[in-house]
Amino acid sequence: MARNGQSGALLLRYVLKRLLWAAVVLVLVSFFAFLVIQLPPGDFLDSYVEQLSRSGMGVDSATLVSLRHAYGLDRPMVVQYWEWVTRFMHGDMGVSLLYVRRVNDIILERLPWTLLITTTSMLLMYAISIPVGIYAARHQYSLGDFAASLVGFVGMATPGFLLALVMMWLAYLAFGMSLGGLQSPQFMQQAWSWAKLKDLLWHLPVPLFVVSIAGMANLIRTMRATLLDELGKPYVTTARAKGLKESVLIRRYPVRAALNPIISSGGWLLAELFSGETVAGIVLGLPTIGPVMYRALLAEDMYLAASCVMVMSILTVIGFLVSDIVLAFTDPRIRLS
Amino acid sequence: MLAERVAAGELPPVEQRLPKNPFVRHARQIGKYGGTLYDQTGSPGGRFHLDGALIAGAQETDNDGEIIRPHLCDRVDVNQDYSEFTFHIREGLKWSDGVDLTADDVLWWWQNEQRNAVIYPEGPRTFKVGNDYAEFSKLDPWTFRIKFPTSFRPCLNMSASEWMAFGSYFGQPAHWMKQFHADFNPKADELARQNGFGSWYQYYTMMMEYMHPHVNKPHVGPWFRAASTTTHDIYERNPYFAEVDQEGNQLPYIDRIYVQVVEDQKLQTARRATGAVSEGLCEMSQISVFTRNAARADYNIKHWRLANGSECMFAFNLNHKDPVKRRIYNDLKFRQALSYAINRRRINETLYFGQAKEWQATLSPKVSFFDPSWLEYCARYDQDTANRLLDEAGLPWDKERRSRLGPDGQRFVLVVIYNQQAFPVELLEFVRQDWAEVGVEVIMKETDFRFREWVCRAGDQDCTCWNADMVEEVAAYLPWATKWNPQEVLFYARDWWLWYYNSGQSGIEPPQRWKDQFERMAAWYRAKSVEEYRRLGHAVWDFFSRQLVCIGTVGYAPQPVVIKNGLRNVSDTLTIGYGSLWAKSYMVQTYYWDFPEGHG
Amino acid sequence: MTDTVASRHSASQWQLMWAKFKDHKLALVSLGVLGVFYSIALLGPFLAPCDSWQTSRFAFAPPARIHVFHSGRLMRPFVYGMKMTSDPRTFERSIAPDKSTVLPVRFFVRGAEYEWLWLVRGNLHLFGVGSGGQINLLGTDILGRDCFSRDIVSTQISVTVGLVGVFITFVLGCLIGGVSGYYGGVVDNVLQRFMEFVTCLPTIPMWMALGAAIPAQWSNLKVYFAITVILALRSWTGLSRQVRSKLLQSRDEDYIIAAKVAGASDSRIILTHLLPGFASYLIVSLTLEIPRMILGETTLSFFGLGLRPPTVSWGVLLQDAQNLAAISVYPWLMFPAIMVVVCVLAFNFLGDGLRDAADPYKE
Repeated sequence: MARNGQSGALLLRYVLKRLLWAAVVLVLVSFFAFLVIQLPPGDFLDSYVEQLSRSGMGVDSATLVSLRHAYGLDRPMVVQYWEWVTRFMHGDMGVSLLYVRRVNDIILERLPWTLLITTTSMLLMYAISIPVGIYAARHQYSLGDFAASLVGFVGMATPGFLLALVMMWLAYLAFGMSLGGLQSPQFMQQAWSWAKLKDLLWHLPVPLFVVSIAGMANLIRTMRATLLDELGKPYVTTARAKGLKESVLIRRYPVRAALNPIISSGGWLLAELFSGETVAGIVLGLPTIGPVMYRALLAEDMYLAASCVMVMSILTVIGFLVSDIVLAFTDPRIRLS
Repeated sequence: MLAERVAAGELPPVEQRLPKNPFVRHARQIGKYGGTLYDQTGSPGGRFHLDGALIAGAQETDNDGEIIRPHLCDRVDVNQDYSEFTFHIREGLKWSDGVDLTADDVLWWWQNEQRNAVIYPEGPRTFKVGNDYAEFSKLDPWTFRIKFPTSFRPCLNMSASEWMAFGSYFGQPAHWMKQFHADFNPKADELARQNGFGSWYQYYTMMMEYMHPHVNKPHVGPWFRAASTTTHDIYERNPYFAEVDQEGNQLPYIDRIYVQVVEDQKLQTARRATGAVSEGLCEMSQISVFTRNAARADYNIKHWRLANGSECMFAFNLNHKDPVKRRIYNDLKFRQALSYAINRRRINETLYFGQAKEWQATLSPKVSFFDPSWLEYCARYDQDTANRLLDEAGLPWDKERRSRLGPDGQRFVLVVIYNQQAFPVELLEFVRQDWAEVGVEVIMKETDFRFREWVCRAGDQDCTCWNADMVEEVAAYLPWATKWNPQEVLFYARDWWLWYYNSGQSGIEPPQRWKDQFERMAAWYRAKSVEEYRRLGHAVWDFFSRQLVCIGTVGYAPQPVVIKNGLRNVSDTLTIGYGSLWAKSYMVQTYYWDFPEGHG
Repeated sequence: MTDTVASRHSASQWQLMWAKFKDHKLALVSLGVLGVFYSIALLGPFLAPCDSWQTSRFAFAPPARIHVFHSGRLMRPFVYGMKMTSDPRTFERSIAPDKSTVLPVRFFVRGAEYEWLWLVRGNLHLFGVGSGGQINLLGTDILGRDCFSRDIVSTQISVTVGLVGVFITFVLGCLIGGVSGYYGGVVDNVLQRFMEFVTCLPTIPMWMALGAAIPAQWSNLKVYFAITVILALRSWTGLSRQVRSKLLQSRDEDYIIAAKVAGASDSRIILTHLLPGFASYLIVSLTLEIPRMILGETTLSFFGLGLRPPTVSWGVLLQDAQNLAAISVYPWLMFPAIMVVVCVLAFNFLGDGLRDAADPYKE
């Protein structure tokens, strides 16, 4: 009883420590993100002005100066950063000059899709990799082992942008599916219905495949390798000698132990997933945050770009946190370190 | 689509919605109402293929960009010396929310927006000659007059371009814009802050919007923007649009334009090739995909042409800060040499199937003061002459004859900064090789347009490139709007221009012949007679040609277009360009679907 | 007899590793494959029949077929010339073999000039057809450039980018991880937090900003190195972490304490005593990092931050292939993708093999 309470307290302390650290990281990331966005010279107005000048309606430099002043783009970077960060803490992410909308609205529209793709991809990855890894470990060097590894490997080794384009094209050839986006244009204008849901489900496989395949190979490999390690250990031989059924044996201890490195790498996986999702999002035209962030970075639409970066970082940090906490939960040794 | 609303009493019947004398747009075939057009854009409110069709102004040009005709104003009176222009708005013309569009809107716009010191501290951008502004006055509810201090013929050209498009660049729906203006709405600041902006004029400036009307902002074009999300924009028919077909049916036929936001250029091309849009331009480098996919994607390909004088022209920075480079770029022989070095035949055959014109970058040959010698000036492919001229320009070969040396004895390298354009990027690779063969090493740096703009405004570029549009008669006369203007787009002589524009207060004093040129251009815009217009126009453009400030490659390229099967009233052959305001010349308001229900 | 027994029992760590490595068949094959890649990289333009930037009229020519029979006669291997017809009405270009022109394939021909390893100028090519025509084993691209030559020359850049990148990663990782693991305490804490922070930074905005900050005037060599640095900045944290944990494990070992007592300096201890202990692990990590860099280079090119003409890399070629024309009509343009996949897989399997070989507990 007392031991449980003690380990419970340790867990709590650990969680709090990690939360505090997460907050510090986010503050540092916010400053760094803002800095990095301002790194390329020029600012958003240069693109706005370019639009005007392309039609021959020139903007002279005096007007440019006043526009810059009107939008507050001539203030020192630290001041602009401070204003953004304080607004951000209050939940106001500023305004996007590119989309002419509040950044909150833009992100709120896109966040559900990002979460959908990311969580579904992760679930898919785990749901497929773990059983496949177990199978591959148990039937080492078999055809199934080889086949599973091969698909995973080719998926991992092919650059994501090319894979996305090829898969999209194949889906079009096979099913006549419209390219780009998660829904056909006809359905986007309509309210939710069964037909619309079906359309969405038809469009999901390609993005999910592209986003998850890269990490899947590594997961399968890790699962397979660590499970093989565990299976080689003395306690397994003992259990076998004692007559424990193979399937029960595998499930009880070795798999649980092999899951440790998988879980602990959850945070990294999420980080990789986000960058892979950005590339896939651009190539496939997904309604996720990635393409918006990319556009905003190109146009140096400061608030939108910085907010997108922050949101992605927050999600990544949450991912790290969750994996750390889950690991601490399952492996008591971690709490003590 | 509107019938139910009329029946329900929400909307007046069509006779009351149209002006007394609606504009008659001749449609090839009388169309059926209904359906949706599909298009795509890079960001919400960004340019898309059909967007030129959204604007409507006082007057318009014909498809070749040569003749000016009345549009939303049924008559424009001009006085003897072209200093007073009286515009008669069609009586009964209304904004898309039913409110009359009157001279009051124009006056309100001029007095409270253009001449508002907070929004435009330096004063309005246009409607001024030298340092004096035009005067706007209202003669009666439907008539307004613009009076210039001197002759100003270009006002007619402006009235036929987007510069006088109601609701975007000229005239605003005063009843709607007042809510954003601090002088008329004490809560304007608060409203702006609620929407994320710092102050009322920031938000007001956003509401002005170039070309793409803001959501539910009253508009005069065939469609107005009804909804906008980060993934798509929806434009719906304007019930008060002032055009009818020859049988009196109100246009447009098509109810809706659905524009999907597709951030990636390559995906846009792929979507066009697989029939995701109703109409789209084909990239020549991908043309085989379009032709092969036509059946599966259910579209046909029409052969249009581009009206650009040059698909890509290069301009060197004559005001470069480095004196050595400045001397070289200012040497006419250097520019001539690089023009001679370009193998235009190869570009034409490889990229355009030999269908483009290998002419020097200049105005359209149909312009009234055109000089045919401008087409051939230094456009011949002649490496020997190029080499000789480069030798004379003071750029000797190095020992191994691999590249030329600058005056400092180092390899002469220059950077061409550009952003992704309509012309194929491969064209730049050809030019790079051509120039490398005469010893000039070039780095073609692609950037996004924002960065290019920034670098060029700072005057730090060696060379940049753009296409040569606005070469038709009407467009070429828009004041200071030509691509040959030294301070915009090609930025080839910004400091000289600033000196002239600010009367010597800033910038660098140009050489006499350039001062003369700027004076000549100003005088051209003030020409009093047709004869003077032609004489000065010829002189202005002769100077630009002889100075070879813009080195062209090939122009008047073929432009295949994909049209979804079943879309009617699309021209079989058309020359499209800025001068005819791009999509405006397509007559999108007369498009209709064979089966409108199938394209909902 | 005593000698052989002694030699058997005193096999070095590396000899043991090699013996185990040989058992891993896949890793052996991968080593061979990588050998091929690096030989291609070394020989470079010598192997390419054409100059990689030479344009020609024959746009999108399909891969040339090598024949041995012409008009019924057996000849030395040859390719036919090409004739091109283009229809400006349908914008169709068709390139067909011109049976009247026979171009025998010769070996060790003189052809386009090149600089071998940026040092020696030469114009000897392994094979070619002389100046009468061109041989396009893998077809041409839109500017009529020979894809096979471009694929060969791009290999030079792409497989070496990884090497230079991991070198930088190695230096950074050992330095920071080493300091962190060896000194422990506050230094360790701070550095660890720093590494975590770096990991949380989103890659793409960082790359875009850094890539956009590369000045336009930089020579391609400088851009190349800048790219390797950018790629290395993502990877060093992984290596640091490994170095750190290994150091933490072994710094309390007896032999280290003995060295400290003997008065050895910290750097000497780290370099000569600690590092060799887990050098094998480092090698494995670095080997597994190279394919990530190769893929990273292609991603940088995707964002337009890669190399510019006249340098060509797999990333550059893949961007040329990133369109429907290459995928559906001219598939030979996608050959670099195969090279990327094979090279990445080879490195991965090699790394696996090395890891298995290095692990003393593995059977």
